[in-house]
Amino acid sequence: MNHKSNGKASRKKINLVDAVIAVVFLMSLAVTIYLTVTLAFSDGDGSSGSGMPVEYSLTVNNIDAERYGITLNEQTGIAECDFLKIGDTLYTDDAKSIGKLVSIRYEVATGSTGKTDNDGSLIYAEYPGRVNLILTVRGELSGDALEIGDLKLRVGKTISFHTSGYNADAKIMSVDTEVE
Amino acid sequence: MAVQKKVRFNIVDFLLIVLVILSVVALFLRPTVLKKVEQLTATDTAVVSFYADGLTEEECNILAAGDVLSAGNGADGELLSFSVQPYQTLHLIESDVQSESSFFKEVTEPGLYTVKGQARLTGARKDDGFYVDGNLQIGVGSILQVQSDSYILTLEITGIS
Repeated sequence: MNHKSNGKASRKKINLVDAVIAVVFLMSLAVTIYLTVTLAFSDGDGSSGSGMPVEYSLTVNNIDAERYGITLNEQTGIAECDFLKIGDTLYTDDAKSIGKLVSIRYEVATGSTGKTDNDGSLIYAEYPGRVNLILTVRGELSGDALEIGDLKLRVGKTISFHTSGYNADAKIMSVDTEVE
Repeated sequence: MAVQKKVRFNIVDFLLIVLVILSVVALFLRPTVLKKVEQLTATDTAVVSFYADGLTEEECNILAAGDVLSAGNGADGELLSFSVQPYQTLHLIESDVQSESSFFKEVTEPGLYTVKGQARLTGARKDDGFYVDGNLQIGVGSILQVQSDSYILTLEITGIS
């Protein structure tokens, strides 16, 4: 006798459609939770993370001071301009904060003349009217690694950043974790 | 006699499938849709000061205040004003005198000009700056390519308000 036909062994069968729905639903739930958590801990203002403060300096090279309206104080080495202010937040290209600006200094930009001195060292000459901006930025490390958000702080690395009014490529010149 | 089970169309399951698929699609398209909405609803304007270097006389002659500019898909703008000046670049001046060192000097490039001007751009102002074309953030220092019906201009932005 057929067990199916007499209904004595009524085993519950998995409904394939329901199973597919459940899997898709769970996958969407997982993606939603992942995105929400990622965004919530994405170091939005540069102050979340491990809480360990870090200070690093960036150099933006060869800027025409007159063209950009930069006022230079030769005695203090401080540069002032309308487009960049102390306290401005710096962002990466994907709009994640990488700290706040704490100082803006400058040095006169120079270039190699292609000649060498008696010691064999290259001779550099000033670029008239051009300066290198030296920006000091303070933020908080995202974890134990030397990182703020997705930005790995490596001396010599060139990064693109922007503030609410300024865009530039800059080289990381120093990283200091021993700050108050 | 074997009884064949008839597969029936279940409307509830079907609606659930549609709902789940729509939710997944919406989840993945959300950033794109948001950007598109921002693009379409971009109503903020910014006036940028700019320099455009190394233009020929013919290129300068095409420019006219009031030209409609486009900075990408859908972002529009207008050339408000401009002036033309000689284009200068830094050159290394070699000294003939042995005791004197070489130096850099601004030298005018014959036949080439710099356009200094102002343009109005439409976009969206956000916390981290002004955006044109939905996702292109611009600020002082940005290099932005704009175009009109008759020319393309590469702007070095030196001011934004």
